[in-house]
This record gives sequence, C-alpha cells and structure tokens, in this order.
Amino acid sequence: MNELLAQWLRLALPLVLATTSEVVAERAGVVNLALEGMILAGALAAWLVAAGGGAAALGPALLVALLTGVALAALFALLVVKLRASPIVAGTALHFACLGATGLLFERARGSAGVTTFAELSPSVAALPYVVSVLLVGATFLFLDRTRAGLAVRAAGESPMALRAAGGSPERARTLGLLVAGALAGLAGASLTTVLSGTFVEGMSAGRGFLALALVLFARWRPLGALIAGLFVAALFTLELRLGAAAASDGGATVFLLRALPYAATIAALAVTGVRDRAAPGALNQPLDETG
Amino acid sequence: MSFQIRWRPWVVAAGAIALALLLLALQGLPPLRAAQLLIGGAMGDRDAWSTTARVATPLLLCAAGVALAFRCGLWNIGAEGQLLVGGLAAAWAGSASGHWLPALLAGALAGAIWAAVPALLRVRRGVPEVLSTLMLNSIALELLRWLVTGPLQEPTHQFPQTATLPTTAWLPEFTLSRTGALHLGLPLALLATAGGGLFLARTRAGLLLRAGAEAPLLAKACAFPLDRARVVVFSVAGALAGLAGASDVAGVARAADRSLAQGLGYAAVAAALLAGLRFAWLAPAALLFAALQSGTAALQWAENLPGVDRFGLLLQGVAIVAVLVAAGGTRRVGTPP
Repeated sequence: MNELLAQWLRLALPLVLATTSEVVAERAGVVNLALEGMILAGALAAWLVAAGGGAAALGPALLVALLTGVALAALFALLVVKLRASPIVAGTALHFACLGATGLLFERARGSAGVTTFAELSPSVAALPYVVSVLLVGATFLFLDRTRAGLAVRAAGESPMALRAAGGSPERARTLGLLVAGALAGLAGASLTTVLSGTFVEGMSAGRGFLALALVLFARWRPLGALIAGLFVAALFTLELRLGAAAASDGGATVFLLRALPYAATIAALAVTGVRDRAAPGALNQPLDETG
Repeated sequence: MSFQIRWRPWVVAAGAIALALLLLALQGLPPLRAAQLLIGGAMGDRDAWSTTARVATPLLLCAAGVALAFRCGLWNIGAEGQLLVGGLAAAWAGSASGHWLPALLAGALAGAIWAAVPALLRVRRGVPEVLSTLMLNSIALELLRWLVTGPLQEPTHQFPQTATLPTTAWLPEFTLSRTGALHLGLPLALLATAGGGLFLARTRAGLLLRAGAEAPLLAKACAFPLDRARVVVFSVAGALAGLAGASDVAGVARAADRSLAQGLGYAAVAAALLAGLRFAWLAPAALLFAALQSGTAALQWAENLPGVDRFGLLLQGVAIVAVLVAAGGTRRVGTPP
C-alpha cells in the first residue's frame, strides 16, 4: 500500500510541475509547445550535474535544471514576444532542437555513474521534493493571484490592450510569465532524473509535456487545478503499471488499453468540456500587435 | 524586397548549419571533413541520392498534408500518429490481399480516419486539434507496440513485427542506382504536393478555406460549409500521412515494426514550417531534412561517432529557429500568408 502511494506520488511529481508551468505560460497568453523539450533539457541538465556526485550534487543539479529551463524560456520569449513568431511554430522548433541536443549531448557524455535519487536518502529528505513541489504550486498561485507582477502576467494573457492602456508592458509581462514557466519546466525535468528514475534516458519525458498541455484545460488554468489534474492522471498511470504487470499474458490487449487510457481519457474529457472554454485566457495565442 | 523575404530564411538556415558543423569540429572532427562526409553521404553519388530520396518520400507526403492543414488554420501535429496507423493498415491489407494497391488504399483510409477524429472534435466540440492530435499520436504509438506483438505479429511469433509482405504487395520500383531502389511513393508525394498547392491557390474551396483560417465569419457569409470542408481537408492531410506510412511499409520496410515510429511525422511538421508552408518549397525542405538524416547517418558510420544522427534532429530545430529570427519583423512565419 505504501509502495503504491509512493509510486503514485513519484509519477505525479513531474506532471504536476509541468502542468503548473503550462498554466503560467498560458495565463500569460502563450501556449508553450516546447514544454516537452524544456522538460527533457532539464532532465539532462540535472543528470549531467548529479551523476556520480551523490547526495551533495542534488541541490546544484536542481538549480542547473531550473536555469536551463529559464534559458530556453528566454529564447522562446525572444522568438514569440520580441520577434512575434507564431508560438506553435517556435515551440515546435525549440522542441526539436531540445530533442536533438539532449540526444547528442547524452551520447557524448554516456558512461558516467548514476544519480542518487531522493528516495535513497533519509525519509525526511526523500519527502522534500514533494513538499517543495506543493509549495511551488502554492507560490505560483500567490504569484498569479496576489502580486502586481502576477496581475500583469494575467492581463497580458487576458487583454494585452488593457494592460498597455494601464501603462504596463504586455511584452515584459509575457516574458516574465514564460521565464517562470521555464523554471518550473526545468524542475519538472529534474524530477524525472532525481526522483523518478535516477538516470537519464533519451526521450525520457515520454510525452509528459504534451500531456501537460491538455491537463491545463482540466486545471482550469489554475495552479491548484494543476495539482489535482496531475495527481489524477498519475493515478491512471499507476493503475496502468500495476494492472499492466498483472495482465501481460492475454496478447497485450489489456496492456494496450491501459497504456492508451490516460490519452484517451484526456481526449474524451476535452470533448465533454467542449466548445470555447470560458476559463481560458482571453488573448491566448493572440500575437501582441493585433490586440494592443 | 520579395527576394529578401524569400531567400533570407534559407541563407540563415545555411548559416546555422555551417555553425553546427563548427560545433562538430569541437568534437574533434575537422569541419571540412565533416561537411564532405555529410554532403557526400547525402548526395555524393547515385546511391546517396537514392537513400536521400527514399527518406524524403514519406517526409514530403506528410509535409504536404501538414502544410495543407496549417494553411487552413488547422494545427495538425498528428502526422506521426496518422503515419503509424497508415503503415499498420498497409501491413495488414498488403498481407491479406497480396497486392500493393489495397495496401496503399488501406493506409490512406486509416490515416484519414485517424485525422477525422480531431477534425470532428474541433468543429463539433471546439477541442483544440493541437492537443487531440498529440494525444492520438501517443495512442497510435501504443497501438503499434501492441499490434506488432499481438494480433498482427508475424506467424512464427518470434519478432516484434508484422508478417513480411508477399512480393506482389511490394510497391512498383524504379532505380537510380544499383543498390538503392525508389518506389511509387516518390511520384505520389510530388503529385500530392502539386495537387495540394493547386487546390489552395486555384480553387474556390481552397481560397475560402484559407480565408476561413483568418476570418471564419467571412467564409460562412459566402455560404461556404466551412466546418465540413475543414473536416475533409483534415482527413485528406491524414490520408497523405497514412499514405506515407503505407508507402514506407510496402516500398521499403516490407513489414511494420517499431522502427516505423522514428519521428518522420514530427520532422514533416518541421519541414513544412521551414518551407514557410509554401507548397513550392516543400520538396526542397523535405529533401534538405532527408539529406541531413542520410548525411548524418553516413557521418556516424564513417567516423564512428555514435549519436551524431541526433544532430539532424537538432539541426531541424535550429534551422526553423533561424528562419524565425531571420523573418522577425518582416512577417510572421507560420501564420498563413
């Protein structure tokens, strides 16, 4: 039972962080299709720093992963906010670059030692990533809902024109939102290496970033919603792993259905929620020069 | 001015590739030698050209579908999934019928159905197609993993692949060189590209679909059944991606296995974007990406540099970023012109 709970939380961690990241990006008015790539980059960065370094290297690894996410987000912001590129195009491109770069760098650096995961340390330290993640979700909520900068970020996603009329800068606000999203994405990646697996595998994010894009809709574009959505889908994944191991003998149909379940459930839920979501930011994916 | 807009992205992309070669030099490979191997491996002789053209075939088919959908304001990121179900359907139909034509048709049909789902969800329920196609890509991959070890596994049940197609189900071939045969997929891809471009540029439906991407109300005011047309266009895009999978199975691999999922569908999105979604530029873009792939593969073999093939992937991303930077301020790449 305890092991089940632990597995569930381990799987939930990257999903919650990734979805929170996307919530911030979309509240700022930009869909971040590079999220998957940013997670991968964060995972690789954490691995490069933490491999063979033992427990002492975990802190620096998280920091470097976070900064990697921020750096990529800065590049994304440059393309989307400053150069007015389509977020879908820029995001796809950045995703490819990350996918290729992580594969290449990993191939170059292969052969180093493994990463000490948080779970191998004392119970109080092992709980740290989960506590910090919940705090981060709370902090994101406070940032968006209770600070001036957060208000500007939300305004940039809701009505950039109004923000500009009020003397603010939608460009700066969107960039800020993306940088915060990048930091969270980098940490989501770090959680893959330092909590979930203890090593880096090419493409190890395995579509979690893409899934997070959809989970944002269930999260109603709220950080606390991201927490719930992440936990829910992680429960589906846990179910799949548990039942899949037990049902591997029937030609694989059950395993397939279980594996496809999180994605199919997401599509079904999107179809039920339906047309033109009211909770969505008003200026989502609208380029700045057309709305103000 | 138009010269500048048309050529600048490509110049910048070439510059980015040169920069990347410089990066390779830091790995201990002289840039000239790297460039020589890269270009030689991609288009050095007839064999190399054949390999490149074989990789470019599914890429171009998918890219034509992606560009068609994107230009109509339908963000179809699902070419990968549509390609996978197309390949699976072709492997099944080719074995069952023993002929290549049913294999191709089944592939196209499967791809069309896989694309019709997000299309219907978009027009009926307002579900963003970016998300639904991404989810369907994941489902298609799981489907492939299951079918090649389950119901469609080859008769001896030893290898994770479908039964090898009978020779009658192989696509008709023509050759440029002794070793590398090209198949029917290539002319089909060129035909699809020309057809897609002509449809968008020269027909009323194409014009109204493009207009509908920016101003749906305008298209509807012209009494144009925009929603239905969007479903049809999305399905055609899916059919092209399905055809890509089918032609790769019936023309190259002769069976479907996990190697079908090598990300060609995603690379096609990148190629279409590099081409600025203009059909005349799709073939060069697909050829460039295919050349990157076959060139880096050759580089990897010649210099024993594992992982260098990922370089192609990195360059694809870098090339598009370069195009975006180059086009910054002049016009927004990726939004329908």
